[in-house]
Amino acid sequence: MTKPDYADYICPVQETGLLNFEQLDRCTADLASDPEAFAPFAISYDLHLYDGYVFAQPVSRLWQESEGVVHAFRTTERPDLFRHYAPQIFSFLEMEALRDAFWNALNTLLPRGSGELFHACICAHGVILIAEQARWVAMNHSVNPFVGFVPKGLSNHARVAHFAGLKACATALLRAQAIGHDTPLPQVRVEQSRSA
Amino acid sequence: MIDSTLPCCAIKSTVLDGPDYKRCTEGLATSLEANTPFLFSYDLRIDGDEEYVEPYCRVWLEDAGKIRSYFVDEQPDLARTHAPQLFRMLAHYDLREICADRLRQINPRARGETYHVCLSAHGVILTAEHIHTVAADCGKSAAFAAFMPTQLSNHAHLSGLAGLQQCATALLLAQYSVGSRDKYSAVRVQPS
Repeated sequence: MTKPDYADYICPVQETGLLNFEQLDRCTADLASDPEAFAPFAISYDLHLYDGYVFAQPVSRLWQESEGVVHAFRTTERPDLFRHYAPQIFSFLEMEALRDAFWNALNTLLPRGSGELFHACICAHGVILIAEQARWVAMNHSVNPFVGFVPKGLSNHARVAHFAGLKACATALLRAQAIGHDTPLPQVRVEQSRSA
Repeated sequence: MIDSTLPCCAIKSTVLDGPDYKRCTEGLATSLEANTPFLFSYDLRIDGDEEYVEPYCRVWLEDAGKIRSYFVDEQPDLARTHAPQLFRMLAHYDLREICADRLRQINPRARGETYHVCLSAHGVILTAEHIHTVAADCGKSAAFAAFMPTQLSNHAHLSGLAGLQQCATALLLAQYSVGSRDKYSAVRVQPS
């Protein structure tokens, strides 16, 4: 059964030991914790699915809201921003163990995926994988186009705060895909992953 | 007598002719100068017909008489200074494609071997992460390969070959000695 386009999207969040608080702080230093702060709130690179394999494509993006629109800036568009955030971006790119968690999650989500592109986005609250064509992936594969990760060992209070932050960032990332769509955007619900 | 030289065959590629490659190498020294980067690199892993980018960006320079490579995530100043070139390098699909094709040619039985894709002012050098092991297990010609631009005068071509040879030898000498297998001490870059 095809998932209707207007249904809420669920972002299942896994607590992982492959991302610790020190790494998260290092990769997200100087990022805004709120997308509405009009400063970069997430850093990303690409993950390609091809014949059941997941390939990292080190095409980096900086995500920022300005004037009501969420932009994904590429290196050549904002060299000043990329220079500033270069250490954080390189740190994120080098987290090989975390990439294994991405591969496992995407292989579970789309075991026969081929041609889909996901952005691996790190923000102050954790990591979100979002399909570049979220609606298309949701419609055609009947899956939620998100997966989230937070470090293991969060207190209940911290978990609530991280999940709320991830929800705001996931919603903003989805809004970047709103251009050209007339239908309202689905809501994003962030939930603890059952497989975590 | 044992030959202690590894071959490195340099072939010409139009991918290095365009402005993209030049932008990737802006600021690199043309020879080994103290504290000035002469190479940028990232890693490419080859496994049969598949290649995987391992985005570990390094800057290579001579420091106190030794060749050192620095991971840029650990060196914020180097990362910020060379960020535009490094991001362009990582996103240069055509370059990655010719490098992967070439690695499959020089090491057709590669099963998970990692190579450094090294960009210099003279061209690209591909070198095995474990040079001596790959040379011993897969053949001497599997350890190094190089690319040069096609649009070079004779003089620039010779100068480029010499520059590549200096960089390739620096890469070899920068590797940690692994004892009895560590029998190579020089690289000879030859045009194809």
